[in-house]
Amino acid sequence: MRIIVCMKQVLDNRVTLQVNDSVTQKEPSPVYITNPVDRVALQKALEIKDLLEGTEITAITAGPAGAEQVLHVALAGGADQAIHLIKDNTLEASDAYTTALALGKVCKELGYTLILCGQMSLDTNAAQVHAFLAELLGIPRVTGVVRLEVILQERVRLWRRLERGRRQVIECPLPALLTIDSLAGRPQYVSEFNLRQAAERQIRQLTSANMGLSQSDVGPQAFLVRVVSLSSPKPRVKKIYVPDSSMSTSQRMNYLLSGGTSGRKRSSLLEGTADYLASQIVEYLTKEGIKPK
Amino acid sequence: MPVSATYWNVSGYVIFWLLFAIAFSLFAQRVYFLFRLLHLGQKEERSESIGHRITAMLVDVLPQWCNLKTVTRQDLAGMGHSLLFWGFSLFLIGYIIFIGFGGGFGLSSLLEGSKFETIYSSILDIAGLLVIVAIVWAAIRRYILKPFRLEASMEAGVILLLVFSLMVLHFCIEGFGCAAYRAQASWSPIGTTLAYFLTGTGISESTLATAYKAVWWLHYLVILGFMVYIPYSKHLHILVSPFNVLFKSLASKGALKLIDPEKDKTVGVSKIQDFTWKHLLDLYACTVCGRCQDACPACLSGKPLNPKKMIQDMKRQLIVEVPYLLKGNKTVNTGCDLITELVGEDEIWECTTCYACQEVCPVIIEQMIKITDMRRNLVEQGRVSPSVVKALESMRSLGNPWEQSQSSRLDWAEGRGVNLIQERGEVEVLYWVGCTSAYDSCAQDISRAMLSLLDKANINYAILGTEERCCGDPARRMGEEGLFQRIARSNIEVLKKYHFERLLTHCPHCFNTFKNEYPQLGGQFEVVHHSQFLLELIRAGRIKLPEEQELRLTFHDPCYLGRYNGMYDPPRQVLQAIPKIRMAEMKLNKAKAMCCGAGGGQMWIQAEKGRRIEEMRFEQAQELNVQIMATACPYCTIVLSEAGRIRGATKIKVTDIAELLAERIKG
Repeated sequence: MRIIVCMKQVLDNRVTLQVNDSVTQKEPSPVYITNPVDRVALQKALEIKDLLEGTEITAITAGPAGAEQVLHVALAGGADQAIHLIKDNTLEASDAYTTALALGKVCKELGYTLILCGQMSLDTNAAQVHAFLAELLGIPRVTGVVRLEVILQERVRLWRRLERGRRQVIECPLPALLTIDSLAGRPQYVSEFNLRQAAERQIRQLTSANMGLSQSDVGPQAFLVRVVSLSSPKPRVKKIYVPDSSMSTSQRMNYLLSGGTSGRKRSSLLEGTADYLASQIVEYLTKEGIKPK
Repeated sequence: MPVSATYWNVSGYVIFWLLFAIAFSLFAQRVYFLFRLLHLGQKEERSESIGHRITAMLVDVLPQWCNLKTVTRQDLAGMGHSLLFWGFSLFLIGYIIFIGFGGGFGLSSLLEGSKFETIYSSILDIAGLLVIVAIVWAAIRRYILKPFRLEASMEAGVILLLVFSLMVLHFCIEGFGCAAYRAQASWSPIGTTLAYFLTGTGISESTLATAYKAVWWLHYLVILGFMVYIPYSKHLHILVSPFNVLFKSLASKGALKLIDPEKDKTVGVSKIQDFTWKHLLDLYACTVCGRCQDACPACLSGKPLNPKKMIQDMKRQLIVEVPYLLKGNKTVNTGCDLITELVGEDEIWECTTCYACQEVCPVIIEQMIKITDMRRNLVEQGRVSPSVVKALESMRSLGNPWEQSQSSRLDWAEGRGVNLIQERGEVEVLYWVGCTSAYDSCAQDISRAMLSLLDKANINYAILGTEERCCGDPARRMGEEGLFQRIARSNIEVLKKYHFERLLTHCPHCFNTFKNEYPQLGGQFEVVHHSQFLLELIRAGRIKLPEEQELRLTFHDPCYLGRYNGMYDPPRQVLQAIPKIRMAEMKLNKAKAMCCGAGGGQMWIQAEKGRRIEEMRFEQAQELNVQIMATACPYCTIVLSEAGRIRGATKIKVTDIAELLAERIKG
């Protein structure tokens, strides 16, 4: 089974970004990380590899020189090979469509059974590339996957995340493209020593030119989306409920830290031994009719 | 001498040496087995400066300083051990001389009646009495008082009984011997008393002589039995602990071992054979005294981590389950996974690396180092909890464990002028603020206080500003050695760019890392902790403290300042320089101080089990009538003041010594 995982290098959103002019953003010392949900996608691929012998994982990233850091994370995590689509002048300011075009070319060349993408990138939040990619490859795409099972290497059973904790279970034939939800798992920590080792492994580098893509295919005139303007967010107003003045200072602190509760209902914080607490809870449940008498 | 007699036509000498040969072969076989097990461990150089090691060992063991250092008003047990050690050592020498040479080699005629014998047996008599006192005390402690750190085990009972019977038999030999052979002028007080009593009973001399012989042989058998039992029981420590002290680490306490990924096959430890031979020797040296368990803040707060249990489990693992490795190929990667099957992942993450266990251990076992070694392996495997991942990845990408951006590193100094070294060029003092005091709103007060003190004292200082990054301590304590090395190397590069005489920091963790760990990577700087520095300023009269109202305070020792670097006095002297101060000490202070619970990466690890360590420590301050709990570490300041808030205690304020001084000067 061949799995391709698409991974993106993004700006760390813990660093405050400043709007430079109307269409670009700037950070005095930018910090790049691997898009966290892409790492969850890699994790899912590794889980499949653990179960199915002969599975081969290829990690691909499209980005400028320096984006291979993402691939080091993938290789250190357990990917078998890595491909870096270098965004040269042609691909430099590509939009989702042209990125998908380039990715699609590589996927076709490699051959695949399953393509895994993160649901969204941390920086642009567009969730566009995988849609274009599936369309260009003519394969089904399932979004918001939180759990997956491969059945007889010919189809997958998928659990999709719906609203309010609901799950939709569907099956889909292979090959397919799945977008993985951040709830699907937790990326594994990759140690510095492992990263350093991975950095010494070979990464296949491709440019648009050696993929046979011309300026008219992936250049600005082919863009479907153009950034018109960019603005800094307005600070959000935070609602703070005023706690009961009869509470002690520490209780009030806890109250505020917990985000407060609705003004209507009084919550009470019980303190005491485990037996006492248990009896109080039982009493409350009985009183409210939650527990049958 | 009963050996020179003949029994059932067999010479006593034959019986003597036959018994000895049997016992000794059993003893030697076991010791050789244990010795071979040590070879399963990894290599480690521990024999450098052997002369110094031998002296240090003798100084530690012979006067029993190893035990006596832990004696407090609450725990006098070390004195009992010392009595036993000295008393039994005298007996051991006595056995070799009187039984070995006198009996076995038939040289008793040289000894009998000699002045040496008279004096030595009198000394033994008194020593025996002291040993009996110690044994009765030990038995009472184990079976009646039952302190937290001891378990009433079978092993302990057997040994107490063996030693007790040896003493009683010794008295009997003296008594029967004197009575039977009418030996005169013996000074042994107990032996002669017993002899006097026996003669008075009118038992015939031949009966007494037979009894003497029987008791002598019984005594000999018990000694041999004791010898065989030692390497099978926890009393292996009698043989091993002097060596364990001899091969103790001579490196500074504050530096964890540097890993070279090129050379070291495995990073950290996951199997017992991944430990070095010295760590395995540690296991043999453990006497199950439980002092580590009594000192461990994780254990005291009811968390599952228990250093004593950990060492005992490892010992059992080594002796019972691993020996099959001796038969086959040593490189075979087998053996139980220590982390999941023996110690437990949660336990490994509960350690605060406070060093209390190692500090208190009489035989210098390295419990904490074992835990950090196992952490290193967990990190290599990526088996770390989400909160640890967050902190580590933040250190890697953002340069601090607080998930803050580098550009906001100077926010704490907003509205006041700071000297940046990039602008100042050469300075006397480079003040390293540290991540915690740069980003945490509570700890920012410390750095602001330091600035006002430095300004007041007219120091030519500067800070690194946005070029400052995490020192790497949390990464190293969490087991992320690679990240630590990367951070440290880049910091060393930055620091070497600038010209300064001294590197000043108020964080004991940064201080310890600069002082003890950066030299491993080629970063030698003259590091000074703010407690030393402020003391210098006060003594030089550059900071003058005005007289104010009386203040009652106590000082909480930060682990990385006190236990790690032995700086118990400078912060106390700074406090005492404040006029009208009244210091009180908490029950656990200085080397025995309890950790605040935030070190070793615990600041970013969510402990789920047991009580909060910082609350327990805060309660200890509450026992005293004080207004201020002073400390000299941003971690301690943050978590202890949080503990105060949680406990609703508004009467005691937790503050750093710098804040205390700055407040006084402002007035």
